[in-house]
Amino acid sequence: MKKNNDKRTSSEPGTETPMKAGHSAPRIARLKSLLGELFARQYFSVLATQSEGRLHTSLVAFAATKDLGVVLFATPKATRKFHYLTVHPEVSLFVDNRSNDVADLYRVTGVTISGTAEVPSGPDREAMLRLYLRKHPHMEEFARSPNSALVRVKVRKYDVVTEFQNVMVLEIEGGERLR
Amino acid sequence: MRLILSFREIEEREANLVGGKAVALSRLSKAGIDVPAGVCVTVKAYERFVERTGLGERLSLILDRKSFTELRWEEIWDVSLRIRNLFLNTPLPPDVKAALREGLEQFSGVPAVVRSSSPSEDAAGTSFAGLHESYVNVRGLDSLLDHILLVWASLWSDRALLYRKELGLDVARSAMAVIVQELAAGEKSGVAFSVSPHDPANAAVEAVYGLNQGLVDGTVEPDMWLLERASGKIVDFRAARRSEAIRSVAGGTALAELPESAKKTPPLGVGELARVFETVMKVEALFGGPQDMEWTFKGETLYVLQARPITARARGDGMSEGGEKPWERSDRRSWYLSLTRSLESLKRLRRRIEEELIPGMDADAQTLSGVDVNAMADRALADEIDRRRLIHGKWVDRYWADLIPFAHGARLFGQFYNDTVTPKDPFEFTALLGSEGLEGVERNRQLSEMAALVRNSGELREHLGEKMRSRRFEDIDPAIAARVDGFLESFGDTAGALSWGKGELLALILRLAEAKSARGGAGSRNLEKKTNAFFDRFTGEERERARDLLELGRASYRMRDNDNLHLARVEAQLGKSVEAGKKRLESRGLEAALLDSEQVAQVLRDPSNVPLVKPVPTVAAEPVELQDNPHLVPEKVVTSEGGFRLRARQLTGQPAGQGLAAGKARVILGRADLLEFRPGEILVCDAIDPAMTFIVPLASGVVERRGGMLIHGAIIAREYGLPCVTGVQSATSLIKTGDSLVVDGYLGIVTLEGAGE
Repeated sequence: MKKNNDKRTSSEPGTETPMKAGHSAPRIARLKSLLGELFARQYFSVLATQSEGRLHTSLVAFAATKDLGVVLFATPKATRKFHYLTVHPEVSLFVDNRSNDVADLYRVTGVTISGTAEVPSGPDREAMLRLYLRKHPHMEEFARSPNSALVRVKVRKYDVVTEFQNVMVLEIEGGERLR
Repeated sequence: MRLILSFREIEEREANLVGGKAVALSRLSKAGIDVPAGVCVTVKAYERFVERTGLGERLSLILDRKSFTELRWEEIWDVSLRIRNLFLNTPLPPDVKAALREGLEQFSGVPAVVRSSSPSEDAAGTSFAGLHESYVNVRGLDSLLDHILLVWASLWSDRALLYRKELGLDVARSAMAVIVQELAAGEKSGVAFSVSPHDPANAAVEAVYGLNQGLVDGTVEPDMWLLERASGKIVDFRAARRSEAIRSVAGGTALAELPESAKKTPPLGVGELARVFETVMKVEALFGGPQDMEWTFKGETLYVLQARPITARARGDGMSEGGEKPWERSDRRSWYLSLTRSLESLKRLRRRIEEELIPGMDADAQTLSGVDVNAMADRALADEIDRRRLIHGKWVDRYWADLIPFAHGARLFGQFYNDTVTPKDPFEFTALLGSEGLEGVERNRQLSEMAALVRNSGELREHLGEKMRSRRFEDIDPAIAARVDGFLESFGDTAGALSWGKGELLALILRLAEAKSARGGAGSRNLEKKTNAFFDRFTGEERERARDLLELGRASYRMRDNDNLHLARVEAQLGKSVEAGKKRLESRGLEAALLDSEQVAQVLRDPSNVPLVKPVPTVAAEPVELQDNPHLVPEKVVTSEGGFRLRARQLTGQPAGQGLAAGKARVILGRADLLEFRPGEILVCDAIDPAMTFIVPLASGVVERRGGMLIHGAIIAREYGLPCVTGVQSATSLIKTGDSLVVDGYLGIVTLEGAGE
């Protein structure tokens, strides 16, 4: 898991890094490329699920489609997260690029993804799986195991936090979109 | 590791430990040239201080708060003030303190100089000299330690932050060394260039009476000699108008009148001049390149204070280079550097502003208002527009050249306050600046008095309502008529490029009367008490200095607000002539609304040649050196695109006025929005123009795109005790009129209560 990690080596103020969008006049394109890059660099995401008033969080290896319409992860079916999301498909995922450094406070980008989970099957599942494995090739055995499910989250909105307290909301209009 | 090295102990290769300035002094001293006795506090002391106290992490938090490409110059000053205050409020660890006291013992009984010696300044090349602080005439060990903290803090001075990329400024890597020397309070001082900047065959010597800060910051005009490098023969001499000199006084330095005999005699005799010349040539030979050397004569001894390779030395006026206006250059940073001025130079500037510039602006506005532009023939009107453009342009230039630099007075006071009081809040000093004499506040007071009359009399309200409906403004009830006329007389031309009409004023008064009672300004209730408590900290000469600085700070703070109103009066006269021209063109069926003043004049002269509307350039997140161009408008934000919709949930800026407010946003994009303003709304704007502050008493909070703690919006919001957040990027695009906002003026956060949460 070493390649492409977003570890900062320099803390030079004013040095532009791809993760800094923050205060710049927010444009949709700018925010989308920020998200695309974050999702490419980060392997893991915290998934939040709920059922009967109980909340549950777990770490999942995730992938996102290029158009940002869908987020994917794989899970064994006998897990609490899978049980919860089948009962209650409204889920959230949190992705960030912190490096556990004090200076992270203003430098970190944190994204809450809100959407609806579903479990595709047939050719649809196969296409999604190929996409997922492109980012996580080592997960093939795990993801293709008979008891594993590939979960597709159709994204409704992204809450993007930069520079500690700047929060922008990127909403996706409409339903099914091209992948 | 020893934290202090004497000049003798410093090795040439140790520039990273002691900085280039200390290495140069050490080399001069070893070569037998007289330099004032001194030592260097190495970067190790800075590093130990920053590491032990956890200051590094706190520095990162201040510096990372907002991306540097988005900071305005004024915000950079705010950042550096916060950092300066952080250093002053952080005690030295006991072992560092003990080591410094021991190593500096020799200076306990003599006046000293504390100077920066930054390794990064040298790494970046010598053109960045003067970015860090130096202090002259520091007395006593405790004061020495305080000033060492200030020099350390100046690693992050506003000037250094402007050049952070070139300097490679980095919390984890950058450090500062400090030179402590005995003060050589010379009778005459100056600068010598081994090669004249204008003629490679000659050397140049400049000399003043007293200390040479006056020369370096442009306050005191020097005598100047050109000498042939080969022979030392004098080839040219230019005498100065000698009148004053900088001398050391308790707590620093001050400008003093010269005795008559000195006014008539050049500071240097022929023999002394020859010695300065010989020394600078010797220094050039020592360092192997043309040198710029600061020197002083104390008695018979010629001391070299500093030597460095020749660069373009920044002068106090910022006007030295070429004919281009420095604030119109593509890289404005050298102009920003020139805005940091001394007390003496600002006092002089104040006289010029109060005695010449403001009366001049008013006189021009007065004269122009007596000219009836509507009665002019086309060609005469075109000429009149051009004439007014020139007059207005002249005052805009004065505004940049003199009035903006004068704003530094409030900062200078702020620094002095923080140095002497060391408050927790670096902006506590603004409470002492007061609001007396702010024309905007006076205007608001008159408005609220008229509103109170209307509020308390149903009859009057009825009467004015009727006037509004019939749009007939004659025969206003005498209970208020004189006040209305008086108001229009004094402030009619200050509401922006266009003037107030009576109808608009009455509409505003009625609106103000709807509010239960508009806020009053904080006034002078506690001001006197606070002022006296501040003065009580000082005695003797120091007290005079405190008084001088506060007086200057107040004048600067007032002027910061008032100058715009005076300029607005001139601008209104230009506007009137342009409006008359446009009306005329439109009555003939020409499209004139979007033409600028120059184009209106052109079409009046030649109606067959209607020019294209000029495109309005936009401003993105432009770096500071390109900012504040008055011709730029904020970048448009795209909020809907390809199935995605973007909205803001929370925006951050600087906490410029404490408090918490919740209410509906009123986004000010034009004059019409101002007149729509309802009591209790939150004012959201690009930049509060002093001409629009009349609605502030109606607002419950202020959000401003332009950042800074001393900008109009922040000043006026604090005056009315309103929560205020400045420096909110794209505020007027991301926030819409009617959005529910929470303004957190403690943390500098604006939250939008969004739909769909």
